Amino acid sequence: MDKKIYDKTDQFFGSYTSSESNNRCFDCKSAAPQWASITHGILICFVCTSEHRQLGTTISQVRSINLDIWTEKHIAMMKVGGNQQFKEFLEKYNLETEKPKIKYMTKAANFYRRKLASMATNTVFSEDDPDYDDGRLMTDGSSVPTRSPQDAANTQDQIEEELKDIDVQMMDNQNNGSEQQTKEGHQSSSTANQYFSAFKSKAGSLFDKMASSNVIQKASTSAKEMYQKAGTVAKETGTKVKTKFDESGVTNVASQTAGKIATGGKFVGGYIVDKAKVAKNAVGEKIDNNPKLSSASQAAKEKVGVIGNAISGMFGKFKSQKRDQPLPYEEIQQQNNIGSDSTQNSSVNNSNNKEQEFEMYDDKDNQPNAKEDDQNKIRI
Amino acid sequence: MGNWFTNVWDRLFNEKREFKLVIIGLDAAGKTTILNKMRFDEYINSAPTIGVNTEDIQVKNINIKVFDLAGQEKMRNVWKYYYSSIEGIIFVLDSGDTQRIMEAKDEIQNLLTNDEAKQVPILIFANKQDLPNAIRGPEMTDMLGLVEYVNKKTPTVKVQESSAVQDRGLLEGFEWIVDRIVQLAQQRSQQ
Repeated sequence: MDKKIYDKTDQFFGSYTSSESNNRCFDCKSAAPQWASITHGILICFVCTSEHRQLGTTISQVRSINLDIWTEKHIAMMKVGGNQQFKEFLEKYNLETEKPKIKYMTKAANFYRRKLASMATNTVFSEDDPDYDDGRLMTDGSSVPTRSPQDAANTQDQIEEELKDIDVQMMDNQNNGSEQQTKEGHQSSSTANQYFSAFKSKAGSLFDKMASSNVIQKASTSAKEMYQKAGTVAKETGTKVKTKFDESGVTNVASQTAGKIATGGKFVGGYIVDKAKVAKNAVGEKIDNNPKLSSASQAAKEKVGVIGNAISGMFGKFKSQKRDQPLPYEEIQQQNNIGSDSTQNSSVNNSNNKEQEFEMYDDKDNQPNAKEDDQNKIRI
Repeated sequence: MGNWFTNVWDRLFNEKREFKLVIIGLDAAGKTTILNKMRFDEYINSAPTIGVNTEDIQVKNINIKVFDLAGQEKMRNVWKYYYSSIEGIIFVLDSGDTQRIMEAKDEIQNLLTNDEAKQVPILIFANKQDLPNAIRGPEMTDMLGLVEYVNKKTPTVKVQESSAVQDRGLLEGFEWIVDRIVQLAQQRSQQ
């Protein structure tokens, strides 16, 4: 029975993912997960698979819904498991929000894996659930790193600080890679940076107003996480671009970075608007009854609209950015170049190239196909 | 006459110095991680490969183009289409995954019975040796039923212990396969 291939995989996962909890990645809550960790009986997204694969196949065995062949044994594991069930189990130990590296390595998770395996094979499993303290121990006996109560109270300060960190990281990244990157890649990263900081200030004021409601606070935390992810993605691609340039000088990579940053921003925006909508529905009744909250919700609504507009404006402007005014990175570059002749020469060369590219770009704008070209660039 | 001269000239001075290798193995065995380690000398957390990764690496001053194929079950069908155009095959095993050793054995047997794959050297990385429960090289050779292949006078199969995380055994393995490819090419040209 174990090795027998299950031939109705499509139908099974069709109905399996119809429930709300199973249609979200267990770790990052993104929609329509296409991968599964069969040892936990949960569904995860492509991005989160790398965390699971790093844990090793004895802890988390990752399979693709589409690319792998499912046997009856694997399907049985998914049948007895489920995202909601594992979430509820981890909530008992207050581990649900921990990082994958921690939550899957605890004794509680180990117990759940063994229980699931015996449930799937219909064998007797007589062990009781571990108690709270024991379940929170890591499998090697050490304790789960705790977050101080102060941190929990000052979530908002934390958000502010982390947002600042990301800003600093992005600036560093930009400065480091400035000489290697081409005009195009540069421009896009600096404009993206501008809009990220504008977005940050708007988001900060929004968080201020919304801090009263718990649900909305949750939404803001997850929004913060997404923001962080976008930041790290931008940083990683930045460093990748740098290495690629060192070796080969391929120029396409720069436009790839632009595309990735753009998609990252888009993702963040869409996610925040989604989360705010969900939160709004959840607290809708409360807000209607309470006059204070209802006025606050109106303000929040307006702010969400502003952010939406800002993000859509960001991509509009991103395409049709005028190059008349000097951009921040150019000033930075000039400051960096003062003092050494060799770099000055190179900067002169760079600026010549830039002018040529400007002309080319302006010509393109006049052509009827300019729009299509721009779209293709962003897709790349 | 001119053609003959070009042949001799090419054989003496313009010897072909680029090989193509293919990396295959079950999913989550560490194929992409090994390639990233060889190429960039850094350990990267990789998501599952969809389709194929290609990288150029250098071993013993020889350029090698490496195709890193996906290991998911439905993607394994494409492996065989690469065998005709490559000089060597690298098969990566997860030594810590004791449950799926037999699945890996089946894939290796398919490889050894393939007419095109038989012609080229096959290097088997017993990867993830850093894990505490990892199966060691000799034991792995036995479990995979490769003892007769490995003990040949000039073996075309080798089981190499490795760990991409600790950077163990990778270079030895790649050097072995390069040496075998060169030897085989010399033998064939003599015949």
